[in-house]
Formats: sequence, structure tokens, C-alpha cells
Amino acid sequence: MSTRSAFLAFSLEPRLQPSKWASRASPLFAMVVTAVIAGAMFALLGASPFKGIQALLLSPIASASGMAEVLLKASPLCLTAIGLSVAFKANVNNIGAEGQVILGGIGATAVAIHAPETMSAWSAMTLALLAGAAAGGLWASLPAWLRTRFGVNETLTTLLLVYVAVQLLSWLTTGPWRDPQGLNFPETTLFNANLVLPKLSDLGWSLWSGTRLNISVIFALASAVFVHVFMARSPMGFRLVVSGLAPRASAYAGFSATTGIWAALTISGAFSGFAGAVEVCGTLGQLQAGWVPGYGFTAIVAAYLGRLSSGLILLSALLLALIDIGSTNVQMALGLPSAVSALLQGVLLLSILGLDLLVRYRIRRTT
Amino acid sequence: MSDTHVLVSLLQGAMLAALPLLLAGLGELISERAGVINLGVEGTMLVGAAVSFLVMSHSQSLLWSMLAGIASGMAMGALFGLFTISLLTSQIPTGMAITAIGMGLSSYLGKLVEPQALAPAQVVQIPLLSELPVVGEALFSLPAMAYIAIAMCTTAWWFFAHTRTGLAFRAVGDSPVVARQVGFDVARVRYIAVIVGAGLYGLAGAYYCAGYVLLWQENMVAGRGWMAIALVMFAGWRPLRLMAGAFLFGALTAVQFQAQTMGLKVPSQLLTVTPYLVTIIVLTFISARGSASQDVPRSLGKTFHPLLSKLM
Amino acid sequence: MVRPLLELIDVTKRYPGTIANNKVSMRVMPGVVHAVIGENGAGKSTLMKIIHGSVQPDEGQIIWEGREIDFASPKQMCELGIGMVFQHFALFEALTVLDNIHLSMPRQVARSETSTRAKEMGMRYGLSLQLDAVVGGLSVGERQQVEIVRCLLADPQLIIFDEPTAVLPPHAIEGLFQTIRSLAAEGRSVLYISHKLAEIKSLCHSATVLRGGQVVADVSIKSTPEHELAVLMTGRALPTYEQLPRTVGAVKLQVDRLTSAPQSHQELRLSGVSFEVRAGEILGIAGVSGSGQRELFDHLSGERTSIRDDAVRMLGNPVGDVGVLGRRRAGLAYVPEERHGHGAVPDLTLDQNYLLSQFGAEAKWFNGMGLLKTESLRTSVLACLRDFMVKAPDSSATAGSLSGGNLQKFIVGRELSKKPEVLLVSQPTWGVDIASSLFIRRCLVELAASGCAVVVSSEDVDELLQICDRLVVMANGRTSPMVNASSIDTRQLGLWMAGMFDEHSTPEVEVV
Repeated sequence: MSTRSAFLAFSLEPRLQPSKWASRASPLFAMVVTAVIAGAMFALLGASPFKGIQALLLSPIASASGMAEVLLKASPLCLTAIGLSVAFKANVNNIGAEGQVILGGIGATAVAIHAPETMSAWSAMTLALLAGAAAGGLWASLPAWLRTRFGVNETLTTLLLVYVAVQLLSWLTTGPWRDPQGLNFPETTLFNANLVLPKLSDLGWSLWSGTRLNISVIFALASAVFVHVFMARSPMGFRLVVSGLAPRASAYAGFSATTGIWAALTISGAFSGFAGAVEVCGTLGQLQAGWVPGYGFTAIVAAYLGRLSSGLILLSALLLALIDIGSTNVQMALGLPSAVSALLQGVLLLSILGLDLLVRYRIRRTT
Repeated sequence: MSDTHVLVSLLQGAMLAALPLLLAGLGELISERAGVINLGVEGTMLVGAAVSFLVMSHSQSLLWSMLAGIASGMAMGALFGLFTISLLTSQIPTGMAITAIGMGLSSYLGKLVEPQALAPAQVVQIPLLSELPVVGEALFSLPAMAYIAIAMCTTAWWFFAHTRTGLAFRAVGDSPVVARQVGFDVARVRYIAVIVGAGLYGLAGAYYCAGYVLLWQENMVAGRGWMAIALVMFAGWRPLRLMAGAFLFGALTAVQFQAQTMGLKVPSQLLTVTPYLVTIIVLTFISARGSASQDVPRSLGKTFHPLLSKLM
Repeated sequence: MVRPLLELIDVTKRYPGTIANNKVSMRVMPGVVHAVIGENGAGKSTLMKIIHGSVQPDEGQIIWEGREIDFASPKQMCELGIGMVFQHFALFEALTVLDNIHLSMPRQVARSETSTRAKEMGMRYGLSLQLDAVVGGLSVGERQQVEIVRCLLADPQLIIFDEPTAVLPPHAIEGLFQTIRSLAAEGRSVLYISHKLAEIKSLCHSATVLRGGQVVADVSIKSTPEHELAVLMTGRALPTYEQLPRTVGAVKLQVDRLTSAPQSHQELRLSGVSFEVRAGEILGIAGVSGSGQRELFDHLSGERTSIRDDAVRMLGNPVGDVGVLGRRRAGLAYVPEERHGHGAVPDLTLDQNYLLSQFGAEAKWFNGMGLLKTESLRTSVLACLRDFMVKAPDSSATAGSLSGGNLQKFIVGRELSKKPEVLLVSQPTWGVDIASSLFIRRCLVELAASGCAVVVSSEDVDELLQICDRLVVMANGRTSPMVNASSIDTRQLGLWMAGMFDEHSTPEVEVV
């Protein structure tokens, strides 16, 4: 039997059990496919594919400071992606993480520029980070309310709110929160020292001396562990998984669909907000109008690439961060545009989606 | 500036700003009527814009740059279709991937040529009607693309409401399972819908760059792709209502530009944000009314497995 | 010697894990109403899909008007002259009646012509059509009429009716039969798929009996009495009923004038449903599918709540407005009709599926930190697998990998392990192998004997007569009076299933 498609003369037969082999191998295959395409692109542009891949993937991690940068970029990405995996598992399409990240930065800044210098670093920091998480969660609760109360699809509302968040950021940094001594730059004052995330080198880990690596890495690792345990072994995690797989079974179990949607959106929003707070209190040290996190969208790729599993998401975040930094290298070393990063992310996501087919279906030739 | 002058500028601005939304929205409407939601609009529009910029700066021909935009859009649509229709991937993440690819590809393409300003589009004056006060200049002295877009919308309306093929499209969008039972080739219908739709996204992006903004900027589409998706919902999947909706959205943008001259003392961010907020409010009203559920193509977003004859 | 219109020779069709049709051979003569009889799962639907063209057989031949057909699509089969009226109507809900009919016509036909011909066809066979109505708003009977007209406009020589009366109200059935008789009188052939022997007796000339995917008999209806057909269909004689004596206790479940408000067109309205079940008793709910059983169970389990809190009482307490969790806490357990997606989640493990119905009293499965006690869950699940003879490699196997019978035993075991006060079961043995079916029925009987009140809904009347103490029949969202299972006769049952509750010969029964 043919699939009636003009292109393909094979048929897809569903498997009784998803193929374990394929589900483990597909992320690897996706990376191979993407690497081949990257190499081809470099060749097309007149550069050596090997030099290109080296600049992209290997040179960023050739030094401790290089690795630090990759880790720094990967941490907020990981935090956001881990939060998104909770929403996606529950079949809630939160694609506005970018906006929730920005709100997180705003929330942290709200605390940072109003907290007195005399406040202890510990409490000021905690407050700022929590404020960021709360702000992100709140931003995501708006689509949750619209969905549960009016039935509005969250795919569009979360997305549209990203643009609103960007404008809010612009207004705050050019208006009420602009640094009065900042020579009219659209940014806030620099945060006091008690509100900047401590660097790992300052905490005694000499490997990272001279680098900017801060404790955001620890937060990222902790979040991966926390969400893994949460989804696998907590009552709410169970509810979310079931509601994502089978809404009728969820009703049978007695779970409220409304609670599930609120939980999925506010949890993922809070993680995104936390990530934004971490970045603003970490490497930025202030809020700027031109701040474009970008990882709100990349996190979607990371979540799918990691097949919604915490450990794999961690690795995917590292890979994507590597590609992001590597593409700036590619730009400098080979004169190629840095847009290659977004392109490769898209290709990666597409590959993993396509290869997912092999997990659920067997391919048979038709006569 | 006199009041009539402001009004004319406003109306004309609304029409011009509405154009890219209308084209992209029409493309999405066609795709969604067959049951496929394509979130790759934003990325495809960007590719169309970049391609049109390249062609325009080399050839100075608006026609060729529009055609190039359409072709590039169709290519992206074919890719999207390959994954969602033949490889049975889920429509939403696939659309996001296409947008990411489009963003990257367009950035790269845009850098191939020196940034430059492009020549503005020629305005077509409709004889007699363009002599009318106010309306004449605002509505009947527009670039050719405006009339083409309106003609396309009207054709689409007629196609869905009065032709047999249009009926078949609606049938596939309602229930691909039944359509297959009755003997339709669901994959073929969906492919056509997706590719034609994507061609329109490419055209929308191409026009936005080479016919409206007249220069290239990274990510210049700035969310208009997403607005187009919202517009389709607002219009209840009807082409004629789509025109009205696009005009309204265009008007919001036009007000932004005219705000200074109109003496509105509002922070610029509030004006920029208004279309997005309005979209959200509009979406809420539609969903709350419940009548939207009557108009939604029932198979929207669902992957159709040809062998199992099942929706997933 | 008249040539058969349609002949099937050794047609075979396999699906992963099962053989739907096994060397099926059949002959349909012109001008004849030929029945295809069999229980649910016997292979009737697959066979019809093969004849219709939407499914291709793996082996065998299809011979139409003397010529062999190879790999024909539904469109081609239609051109050849085979039409089908589907059980689950092949209609587009968002389009009008005329649109739907027009799409089935050949391309060259103009819309106005379709309109004229449709009206004509309707009048010829006594079917009323509102051409401009959107199908989504039509009743089931009206939709079937659209289906029939759609099919007839192609001027078919053979028309297949797949379980047409399954969802028809009684007064529409006679109208359908008249239409079918006119068709046969014109020289067309009709293939009538059903498991309702009374209808077949009244309408059909000949029949092929399917059981387990194979043909077991080819008979002429006139010369075969109903009970013989039943034996052929089920492979066993209608059992004589021996009622096991059971001590009956207090009322555990009471339903008092339960009425519902449908949330969609597909939903049936329940009106004035009343019955009660005592400890130690099994109440059976009989009825044609689509009579309201699904809606009733939704309201009994708590997935849907009522406005009146005393519409449903458990152990004397009003729970009508209480949801699933509250009713489960009060001692309710439920085995739903659909194993995949409702009673269990196929992609989750058996451990996780066990946990699915523990909520309401879930605290005992989570430790002080709020985390799942995986070991104690696993122990309980393994015990359940053992006690209920579920063949599974481990408790971490996915529910989807279990066979129908094993998964059903697991779900039944899961609910029974809670030692419920009241158990609801819908279609306990549908699609389940014989051995597992017997086991499940025994479990239900033993559960009742231990003091639980059991409510069983089934399309298999024999099953109900075997295990139930009392019966209630549902039709059109209403319930008949309760009767002892031992004192009902098939004629009575047939009348009640058709919704005619007032004409009963058995007086209302007092429970001793």
C-alpha cells in the first residue's frame, strides 16, 4: 500500500511498542545530519567544511574561558528548556518563553534597583531571583487564565505576549527606570555588588579564575534534577504527564484539566523568569533596552532535541550554546554570517522531529 | 496639516500596512482550511523579504522580486509539507523549526548585498475613482499589489464558497478520515494548500520589504507573521472578513505613524504594543463567544495517517 | 443459472496481532437482501471495508459481475456499482446536506443537477431531506437518510448497510426496512450487516455467519429459526440460567430521577433514570449501543456531575454533585468501556496505570516529601498481576503492550484491589478472549458475594443473564423498570430495547 504521496514509495506501519533503539539513537542522528548540512553550507560559501566545523564546535571549548562562556550561555537556556519540558509534556504549547524570560529580568531588576545596599547579599539575591521567577510565572498565568476561562489557544497568546514584553522592557529602560547618571543610555543603573551572582572563581574554584562563570551553572544542574524528580515522582508531575497523554484518562483519574493548565504554564513561566533573573543578575548586572535573550525560542529546540527528558535537555542546551558561541567564531574566523546559528537550530529541530518517525513506525517498501 | 490630509494619510497608511498582513493571512487561511496550521509564516515571510531584497537590488524589477518571493515561499512550504504530511510530524513544532530556519536563512541572505534603500513602488491610479475627495487618494491610488491582493482575496472567497475543488478543500479540513473514505487524496489536497499558502507568505514578506519598507533589516517582519495567524482566527476563516480584519490591523499601525501629527502624547511603546494587545483581546472575544468553534476547521492541527485512517 | 452479482473467494486480511478475515468466501445474488451476521469483533466491518475498497485484502479474490477486481479504490468500486452506507456516517459536519451529496457525485455534474436528483431520490424512497441544513446540526436518523441518498445517487447495484439500526429510534427502523425492500424489489442487492437476529429474520433472504474471522455457515433465512442463528453466531447455545443464591444487604447505590443536560449534539439526554443496587447484588444494564449507557456511566462515576446532589446516593449519602475523587473516597470503583485512553494510558507503565485510579486516597502512595513510593507501588502491582492472572513481563511493561484480555484483567484487578463498596463496569468482556472473559465474570460474581454492589452494562445479553440478579434496560436515555433476570423473556427484552417500556407483561418486581 502506498501513502498516496507523490514522492515516496514506501509505507509506514505503526509499531506496537515505541522502538527503544530509535528513541536513543535519533538525537545522535539528528546531530550528524545537522553537521553534514553545516559542512555543506560552509563548502558552498567557499570555506573548508572542516575548518568551519572546527571553528563552530571545537574552538569555543579549547580554553577554560571558552568553556566558561559556553556554560554561561547554556545555563539560562537549560533553565528555560527544563521548564518548557513540563509544559510540553502536559501538551500545553507555551512558546512565549522569551517574553517570560524578559519579565523575569524585569522582576529581578525591580528588586535590584530598590533594595538598600545594606541588605545582605544572600537575602537580596534570593529576593531578586524569586521576584524574577514570580514575574515570569505571572506573565505565563495570563495565557493560562485566557485558556481556562475563555478557551483561547495558548499557542498564540503566549507568543503575542512576547512582543508586549519587549515593549515593556523598552519603556522601563527608557523611562521610569533609566539610569539618571547614565548619559541617556536606555539602561538601568548597574546593580550593587550584593545583587550580582557570585563567580565560581570567587567561591574558591580556581579552575575558573579569570572567567565570568558564576553559580548559574549550579542552578541549571539543580533544576534538571528537580524537574526530573518532580515529573517522575510527584503527584502534580503525574497529573501533568497523564493529561498530556490522554485527557479522557485524566478525567477518569479525577484530575482537573484547569489545574493542569495553570500548573503547566505557571511552572514553565517561573523557570523562564528565573532564567532571565539569573542572566540579568549574573553577566549583565543591569537591565538594558537592547537585551534580547533569544534563548526563549532556542529553549523550544532544546526541549524537543532532549526529547523532553531532563538529562538530554541538559546536553542539548550545552550543544546549542556551543553552536551559538561557535557561530560568532565562524563569523570572525571565516567571514561567514553568524545567522548560521539560528539556521542550524532549525535544522536540528527538524531532524529530530523527522527521525522521531522511526521511533513510532516501521518503514516497509511497497511493491 | 489639515484634518482631511491626516485622514487621507491615515486611510492610505492603513491600506498599505494591511497589505502584508492580508497576503500572509490569506496564505494561512488557505492552509488552515485544509486542516494544516503553519507556524512557519514568520520565517517564510523573512525569507521572502530577503530574497526580494536581493533580486530587487540586482535587477530593480519589482515584478521579479515578487516572483522570487513567491518561489522561495513555496520552497519553504514544500519542506514544511514534506515533514508534516508525509513524515507525519506534529504541525506546531515543525512550524517553529521552519521559522527558525527562515530567520537564519534570511539573515544570511540579507547580508549578501550591501544595505541600500530601494525605489518606492509605483502607484496605480484608478481612472475616475481616484478623483474622489479623500477616498480617491486613500483607496484608489494604491500600488498595484493592493488591487492584486484584494482580487486574490475575492477569488479565494469565490473558490471556497462556489467551486467544487474549494468544497473538497473544506471537506478535507473538516474530516480527512471521512474524505479518504469518500475517495479524496488527502495528502495531495494538504500539500497544495500548504504550498500555495506558503507562496503567499513569501509574497507578503517580499512586498513588505521591496514594496513598503524599502530596505532590509534583520527580523524586520517583527511578529507580523504571528499576527497573520491571529487574523485568520479573527476572520473566522473567511476571506472577505480577512480583508476587513487586515484593514483594522493596518489602521492600528498607521495610527502609530500619525500619532505625532495627530498630537497624541503617548509613549511610542504603547502604540507599538497596541496591535498585539488588540489581537489578544480579539482572540478572547472570539473564543468566548463560542461561535468560533463552528467555524474552526475540525481537523486543524491534527496529523493524518493515511494507512490507519486516523487523526493524531 | 443466475450468476452471482458479487463473489468473494478466500479473502484474507491480517492486522498486527490478529487475523481479521480468514479465507472468507461468500456469494450475493441479484435482488436479494443478504445478511452478514456475527458478534462484535467477528470481522464483519473489515470484510465490508474490503468490498467497499477502502481496505485491500492480503489474499483472495473479489469477483464482480463475473470479472475479477484488483486493488480498487472506493471511487472505483463506486463506479463499478458498489455503494456503502456507513455505520459511522461518512459525512462532513461543517458542510450542508447538499454539499455532502454533491461531493460524492462525479465531477461533471452541476450543483443544481445534484439538488434536483437528490430531491427526487428522497421522494422516491420516502426520505425527507433539508438540503441547506448543516450536517452537524442534524439528528442521527436524519444523517442516516443523507447517507442513504448519497449512496443511492450513484445508482449502485449492490448496497452495503453496516449496522444501520444501531443508532436509530424505533419508529425510524420500519422506514428503513421499507426503503431496503424497495431497493431489492428493483433488482438491486443489499448486504445487511448486523447482529440483531430479530431484524434479520424480518428483512433478509439469506445470510453468511462469521465467527472469529471465518465463515461458519451460509444459510437461507426462511429455513433457519432464530435460535439456530444465535447458536451459529456465538458458537454456543443460549444458556439456561441458574441463579446462584446470594444474600442481599442494604442499598449501596441509589439513582433517583437522574436527568442530564447534553453538552454536544452527539450526547444523548438522560431523563428520569432511576434504579437502585444493594450489597451482594449485580444489576445489569442492557440496551442497544448508544442508548445512553455512556452518559449514564459518566454521571455515575463523577466525571459528569448533576445539579441535584441527591440524584445519586452512595451508602445513603448524596453524591450527585461530587466529582470523581469524592466518589472514589466514598468507595466507588469504575472499569470504563474503553481500555485505551480512558481506563488506561497505553504509553504508561502498569505501575503508572495502577496509580491512575488511586487518586482521592493517594496519600498512602506518596512519602513525607511528597514523592512516590515506587517500591511499594511495584509490590502492589505485582500482587495484582498475580492475583488476576495478567500475563505481563513486569510491572514496568507499558499498558499498550498487553493483549486486550490481559489489559482488561489488569484494570478489573486494579479496581477490585481497592475493595470497593460499589463497582461500575462497562462492557466487561468486549474484545476479550474466552478464557479471560470467564475469569472476569467470575471475579465480578465473587466480588458481589463479598458484599459489593455491582452495576454491569453490556451489549451481550447472554452475559448479563448469566451473572446478574436484576436487569434494567436503557433506551433513548431512559430506563425500564427493574426485573429479575430469571423472569424476563426475549420478547419482553426486545420491546424494552426498542424503548417501549409501558407495554410490559411482567409486573414490577419486589426485592425480597
